[in-house]
Amino acid sequence: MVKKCLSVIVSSVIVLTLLGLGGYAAEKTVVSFWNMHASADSPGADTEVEVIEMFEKENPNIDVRVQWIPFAQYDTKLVMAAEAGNPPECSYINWVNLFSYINPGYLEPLDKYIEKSDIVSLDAYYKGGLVGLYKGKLYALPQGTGTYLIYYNKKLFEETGVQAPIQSWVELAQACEKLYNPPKYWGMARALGDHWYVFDEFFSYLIANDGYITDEDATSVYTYTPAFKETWRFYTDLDLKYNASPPGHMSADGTEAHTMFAQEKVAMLKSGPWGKGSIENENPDLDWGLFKLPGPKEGQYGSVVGGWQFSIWKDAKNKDAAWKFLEFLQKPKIQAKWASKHNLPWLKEARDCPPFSEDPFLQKFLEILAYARFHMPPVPEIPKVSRAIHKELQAVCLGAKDQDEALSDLTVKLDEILPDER
Amino acid sequence: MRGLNKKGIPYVLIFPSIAIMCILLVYPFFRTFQISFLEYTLYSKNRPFVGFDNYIRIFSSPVFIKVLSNSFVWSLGSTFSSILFGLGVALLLNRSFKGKNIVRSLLLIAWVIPVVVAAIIWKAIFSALFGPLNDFLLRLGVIDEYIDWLGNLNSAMGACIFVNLWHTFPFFTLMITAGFQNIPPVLYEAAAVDGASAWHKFRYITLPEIRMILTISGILCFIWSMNAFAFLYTFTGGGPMYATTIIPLQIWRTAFEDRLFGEAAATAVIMFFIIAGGVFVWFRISKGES
Repeated sequence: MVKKCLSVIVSSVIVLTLLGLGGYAAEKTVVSFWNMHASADSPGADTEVEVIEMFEKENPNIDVRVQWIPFAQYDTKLVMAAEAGNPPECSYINWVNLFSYINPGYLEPLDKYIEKSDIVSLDAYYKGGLVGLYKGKLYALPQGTGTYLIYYNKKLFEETGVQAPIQSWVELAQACEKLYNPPKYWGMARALGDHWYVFDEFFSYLIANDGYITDEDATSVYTYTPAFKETWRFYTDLDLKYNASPPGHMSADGTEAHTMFAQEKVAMLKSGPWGKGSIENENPDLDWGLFKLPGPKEGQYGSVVGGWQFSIWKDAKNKDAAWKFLEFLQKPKIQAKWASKHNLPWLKEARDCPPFSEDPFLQKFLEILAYARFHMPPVPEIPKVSRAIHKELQAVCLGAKDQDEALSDLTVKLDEILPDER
Repeated sequence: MRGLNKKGIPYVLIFPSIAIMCILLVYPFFRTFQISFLEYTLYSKNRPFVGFDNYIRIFSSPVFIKVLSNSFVWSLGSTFSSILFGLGVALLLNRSFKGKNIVRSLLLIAWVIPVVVAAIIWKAIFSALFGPLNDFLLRLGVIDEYIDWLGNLNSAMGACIFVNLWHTFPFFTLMITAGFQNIPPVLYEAAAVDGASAWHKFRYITLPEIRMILTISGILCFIWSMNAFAFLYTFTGGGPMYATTIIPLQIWRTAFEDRLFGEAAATAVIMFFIIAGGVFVWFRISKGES
């Protein structure tokens, strides 16, 4: 009896071990990919899931495991993983934070992969997207960028006699005055509670005015230039003189700004291609249009660019498999598909692919690229610069300082933040 | 031999807890303290020893002085309001009335709601354009235009303290109510015989008897308030213009936005000493009063 039991046990162990070994032999290479969408159900994530499934079909021995991380926590998690030596194989990286991962050596240089690749070539990208180039090596592949346009409420424009498109700052100020109709509606949604929103919006106006905040190396401050001063005045006058935005904008974030527009509390909203989904979700009956964010004079327009990059982490175990995945994402049709729901591809050929070649909505966001650029070089001090601008703008709009005093304080602060040389 | 075993057993029994504490508390504390003396950023793998440079930079920063002052206003405001309000409600609940148990249970709802959920709900209530608070006050004629409660330098911190009071006072009400149960009724009877008024009973019997509970409650509230990150991050993000930024939020920003871990660690060490100092002072004051 005992012998019988023992033989059953031993046989079971052998069978199970063989099954296990069999399973091990068939085991796929795992590529962990960190994604800044909150979940697979987030707007725009469905196309990414589809693309990943397409890749896995073509590469049945690779298993791409997506970790969905809400945008608000995304970078914090990446920082912690980098410091702990436990990063994913590959991930999205926000352009603003690239340098903080490149410089300490957390990212794998991609040049050796690109040299052997039939798909990836640096000439295929719009040069502006290659922010991952550092000391002659490329550490990140451009995924996509947003640009900004003004969404406007056609009904409110018609009601108040405002003509679209608005072509200059004078017209914009007049429009805000005509659209000032509290408590029903106001001119513009602005989320002055969020320093990143302000960073994008203020710089869009600055770019429309052909202004800069620093030199190319981000070591000299240009806040004394006429373009910067004029933009500073106009942007704060939107609050001080033209009552452009409703109460609550001083503490609002981007989501609330979209809600203000969707609920027809404001007639204009600065947003990117991702704005459409959120507006139509909240108010599918809203009749809206688009025009370019104007500069001081007719014919001047502006927008910031930025967006996301893909990188492979140095401590990753399966870098070759990770490269296969990222390389797949650089095929023009694939990049176009991937970007289609939330931003614009950096690959030149991808912009000629559907939906970008066919969708008039997306084409409008592509058109503004001709007037768009990055806020400033991707230096480590960007968050401090953004918060300094935000604080002084709020100080003016809240009546704590006048425009000149705040601008002077901002100049001093930026001088402290930025190094004298790099 | 038996004596040695007997002496050793307690240490063996508490060893797992001590080990866990060392891993989760003691090591991170000393590591943070060590990092505070380094130039530890995420922009470089070089992390040299810089002495007190981080501390000097922090104390020279007007932003930190503002944040420090906010932290005291927030913590002391939250502590005093929660304890006083909690005491008031506890006194009311100490009487007999119909539905007392239901009221007591309903009070707990505020306490059990997760702090982030509470922040989101109240942010919606305080919303200038869409919030029911403005709508209600407008209809009553108390205000004649929408107020941006969370975007106004004069009201943002007050709104934060109010919501924190709403969230925390039930806990202190319960603690104080439990304290009331330990007061011997004979003291009140004797006081009544001597003709003591309600105020005299409260001042000379109730308060001294619950002094330790009030002390512990105050300390807990002060520590929790000083450590509050999730609520303020969700409710106001620390704005406007740093008006509601307290030390934990500043630490997070320094570490995870600016990637300056050395400076963030130094700020954390400063915060530790502030809390430790606050607790010490509180104990001394309570001891003095007794």
